[in-house]
Amino acid sequence: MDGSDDECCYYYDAVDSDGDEEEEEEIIMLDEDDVGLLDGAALPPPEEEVEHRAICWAITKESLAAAQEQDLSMVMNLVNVERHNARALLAHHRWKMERIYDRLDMMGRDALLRDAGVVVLPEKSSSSGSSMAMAKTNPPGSVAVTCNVCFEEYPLGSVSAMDCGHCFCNDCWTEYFAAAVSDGSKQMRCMEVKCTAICDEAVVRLLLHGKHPGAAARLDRRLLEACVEASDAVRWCPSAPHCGRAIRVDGGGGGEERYAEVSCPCGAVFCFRCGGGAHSPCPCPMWDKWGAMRGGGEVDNLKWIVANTKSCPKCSKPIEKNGGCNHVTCTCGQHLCYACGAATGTLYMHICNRYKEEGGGGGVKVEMTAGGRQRLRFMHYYERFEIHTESYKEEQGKLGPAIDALARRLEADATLPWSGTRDARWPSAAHRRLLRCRQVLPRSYVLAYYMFGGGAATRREREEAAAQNRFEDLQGQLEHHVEVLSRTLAAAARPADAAEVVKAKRDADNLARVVEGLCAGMYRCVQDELLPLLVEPMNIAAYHPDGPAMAKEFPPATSVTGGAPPATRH
Amino acid sequence: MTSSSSPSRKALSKIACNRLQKELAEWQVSPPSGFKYRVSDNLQRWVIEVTGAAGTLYAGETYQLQVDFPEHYPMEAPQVIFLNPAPMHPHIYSNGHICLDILYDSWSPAMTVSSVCISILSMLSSSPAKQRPQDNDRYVRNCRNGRSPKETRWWFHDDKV
Repeated sequence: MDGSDDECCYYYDAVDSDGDEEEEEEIIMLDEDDVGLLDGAALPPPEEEVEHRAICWAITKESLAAAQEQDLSMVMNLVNVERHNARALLAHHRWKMERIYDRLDMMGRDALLRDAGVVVLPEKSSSSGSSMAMAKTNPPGSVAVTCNVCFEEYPLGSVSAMDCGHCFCNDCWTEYFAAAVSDGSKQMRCMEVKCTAICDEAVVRLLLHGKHPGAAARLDRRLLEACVEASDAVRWCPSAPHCGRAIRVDGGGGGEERYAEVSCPCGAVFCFRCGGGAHSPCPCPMWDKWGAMRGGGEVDNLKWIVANTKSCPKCSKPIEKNGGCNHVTCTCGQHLCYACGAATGTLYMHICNRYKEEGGGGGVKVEMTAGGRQRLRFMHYYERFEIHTESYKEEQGKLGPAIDALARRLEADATLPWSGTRDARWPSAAHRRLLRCRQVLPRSYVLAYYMFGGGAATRREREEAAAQNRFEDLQGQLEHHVEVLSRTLAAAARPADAAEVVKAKRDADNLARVVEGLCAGMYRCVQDELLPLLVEPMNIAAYHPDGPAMAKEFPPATSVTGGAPPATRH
Repeated sequence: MTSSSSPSRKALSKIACNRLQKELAEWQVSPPSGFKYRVSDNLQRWVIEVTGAAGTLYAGETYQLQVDFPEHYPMEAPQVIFLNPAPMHPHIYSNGHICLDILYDSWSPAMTVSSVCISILSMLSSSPAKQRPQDNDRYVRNCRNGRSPKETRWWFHDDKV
């Protein structure tokens, strides 16, 4: 595999040198310069960040009912309608309270109701109950009503009328509701021809319970679930088997919350927009295409190639990676990059994230078919995707326990000279940062595969070239510093003397800050420079150093509110 | 005259029986104009003769409607088809299936056989030309095994005819 042998110095790491006072000071200055270079990419202060972050709630079935009840009560009071019409309004506006407020201000009550298909007769609000509405549909003095569905006569107590005034016997209403529940309807509308009035929930539930209790229970569950499906701000956790929770994202108002990444208390981490696994900074459509592409048998071949075709550039022995860091050393002493196979120096000053078309050694041009070129290009991006994905697993599964052990040793070791060094939190904090960035790297290669030269429709070529250059620069630096951080933590996890621990802490803290800044910079570059170039605009979740938002459990209701309207049956 | 489709039908529920008996009694008292109920003992299947209205393309022509009632009529719509030969109409297929929304999604339990018949006669009367639907051949081929029109996912787009 041909790769770039270009060695550029982005970071000076004097791992093998003994620290005398003068040299140590020089290293500190270099670190400061390195951080200073990223001033533009630095994150805003944590307080500001916390303020802007969307709040996520994990809602159980019980809490969902409570939250729904809260919204229904607000709309019932605000617009002065019955419960079933409040539900229709909320469903029409996708359970967004602010839209109902806006529309009420703009349109007024009557237009708001008409817009949502809600039928409310003027006299309804002044009548004491549905019995008066029934009475109005009959001639004076009449004591019986003919149902227009079964054509039987019934006393007033055995019939029900809805808001629209249409009146049928309770037996026919009951069979009608049971059939509608069986059909999967979420809204019960009047039986009259061409009437769209929504039936009173209390009447529906009362009639169904008497004869079809199973259907009544199914209807309750369906009404509860309908608000999740209708709402843009609530979605079911995609875990399998299902944990029973829905996740609600209360946003900053700009619609940004729909692109959030969420962690459910059950452990599932997913993209709120598409329901798939978290994938930022790659947009949903690109991630979907990548998933579809990886499903084929061709990728199994590529996976085998990635795992089994690495060899030392010096002695040609096969190379197997041990640990998460991709800076690998052969037994013959040669250092190399595991991703591209190129030889590197002991200081690992090597960047190879960019795909260079028709790149080759010695200037010899090789003629290639279009298919061959495509395959080579895919291999470049896929290899790095796979390598970083494997590195993440190594760093989580093997390095993680070692870091935990290191933290415990630091707490227990009384011989360490500085109180700052014995603080046991720095290894875990640096490790979390490493994992976070290691997750982001494979996804950034998916984005690059589709964004650059992969047929993504873009508007302006000049802006694209500049944005691509900036993105790949950030990506390359991030990759480099992640490897150094990985190696630093792996070394720190081994038994060491006090001086080495002190140095490891300083390096880890600095590197964690650097990789966080690079990661944030890459997200901003994607959102502000790359994605606007697409003909079809896309969005990604905003960057957060700690990853997806942890959804908090929604507090269950302490009391049941809102009594049902009085029953129409005597 | 053999039926072009034979759906498996459950026996009528008590509610359906009661209602159909009342509908039949009402029909015998005042049948809709242009329609004649063919007397039979089978309450679950009605065969109705339709005569085209005067002054329309179908004036003087006679066709036969077959109405089959499901177990839970009138909560579920009846199956209504023309027996062979079906009228030449832009919304009536040669196998007798009728593209009319009240027979499917817009059915209401307050509708009756009479109101359905009146709607079908109105559809015939407003026909601009005697022709088959554009997709007639493909649709009829797909329904070869006696499929019910209630299984079709109709797309209603023409309110004028």
